[in-house]
Amino acid sequence: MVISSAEHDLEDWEFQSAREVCAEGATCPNSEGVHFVDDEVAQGGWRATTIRAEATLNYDVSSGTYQMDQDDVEIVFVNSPFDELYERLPDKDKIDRSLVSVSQNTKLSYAQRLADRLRELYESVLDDPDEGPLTPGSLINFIYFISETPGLKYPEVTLTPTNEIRAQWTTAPNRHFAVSFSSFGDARFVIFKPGSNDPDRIDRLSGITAVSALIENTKPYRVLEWVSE
Amino acid sequence: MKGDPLPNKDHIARYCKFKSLSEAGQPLGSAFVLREERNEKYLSVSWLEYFGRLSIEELLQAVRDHFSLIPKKSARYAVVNVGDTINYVNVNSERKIKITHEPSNSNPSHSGVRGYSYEDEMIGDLIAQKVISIHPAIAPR
Repeated sequence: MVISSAEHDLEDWEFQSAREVCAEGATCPNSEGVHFVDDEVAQGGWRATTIRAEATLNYDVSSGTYQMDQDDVEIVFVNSPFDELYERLPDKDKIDRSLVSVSQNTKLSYAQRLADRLRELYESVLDDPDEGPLTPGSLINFIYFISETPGLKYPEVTLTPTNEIRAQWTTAPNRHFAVSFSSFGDARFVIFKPGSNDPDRIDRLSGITAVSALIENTKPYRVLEWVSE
Repeated sequence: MKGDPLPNKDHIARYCKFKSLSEAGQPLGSAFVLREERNEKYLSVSWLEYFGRLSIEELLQAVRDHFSLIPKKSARYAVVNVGDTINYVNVNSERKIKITHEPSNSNPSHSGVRGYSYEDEMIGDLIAQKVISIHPAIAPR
């Protein structure tokens, strides 16, 4: 019983990483034909043949999940076969590829600057024997957030003690939004904002939410007023 | 004596790694967060006035001389006032922090900022707002 038969467009780096892993003897997904969109971007596809139930899955690009059409049955797949292959890459390769993807991200006006900053942080912990490596999952979640949230200003990026990415946008003591990105898709945020009833006061709050819900859940605090360009 | 609170008028210096500094070299909240994997009970700092009535540069040099790790050129010391920082954090958060003397064999000025956990990233951001000066981790020649 084949339940899914979906094509998923891939950027060149993603497709190439999968092909490299395949070349090392891993089980490969059924890849479809590859064609080049332009000099830098190629598109390939895969055909998933996961056996679970009889239904059609649709790939939602914005959330990166697969969802069934039926309202009464919901199975959400987070990983595509390419994600599984990607997971098998060494952390160094994951980080290198992620940094290349940032530098080539056409949605970010500061793509190269941000990639340079992330590489600088990555290398700073690599050079320190007291430090663990930068956390690839945190980096990937940060890149997802900044790529999928249109118009964000350039953030100050640091690393937490456990080497997760922490991005912050601060324009005044009472306009501060800082987010730490975990490997598991959580975002821990801190907000300092003008008081709701008394703008001379500063409201301070913090919380944890899913990276994919971060902007939605912090909208009531009007962070976009100083975080957006 | 170990565990005694530091005088409010005194100052502490925190060694801040490159990864916790802004691109302009300013220590941000990450520099003042506890490390979960080491189960840290307090934030390690050095008590400047422990070394006596010296100039700020002489105090910083004494701190450098007693630092137990190999310092990095890219790191910085962030200095905050004890009383201002405690007051600011305690008024603006649900935590009640204190700063106590925790001398070690290698560093008699070693002290700790207590009263919060690794999950309290807001405390790190509040302390970062109270930094009054920043100094190279390795003295310039």
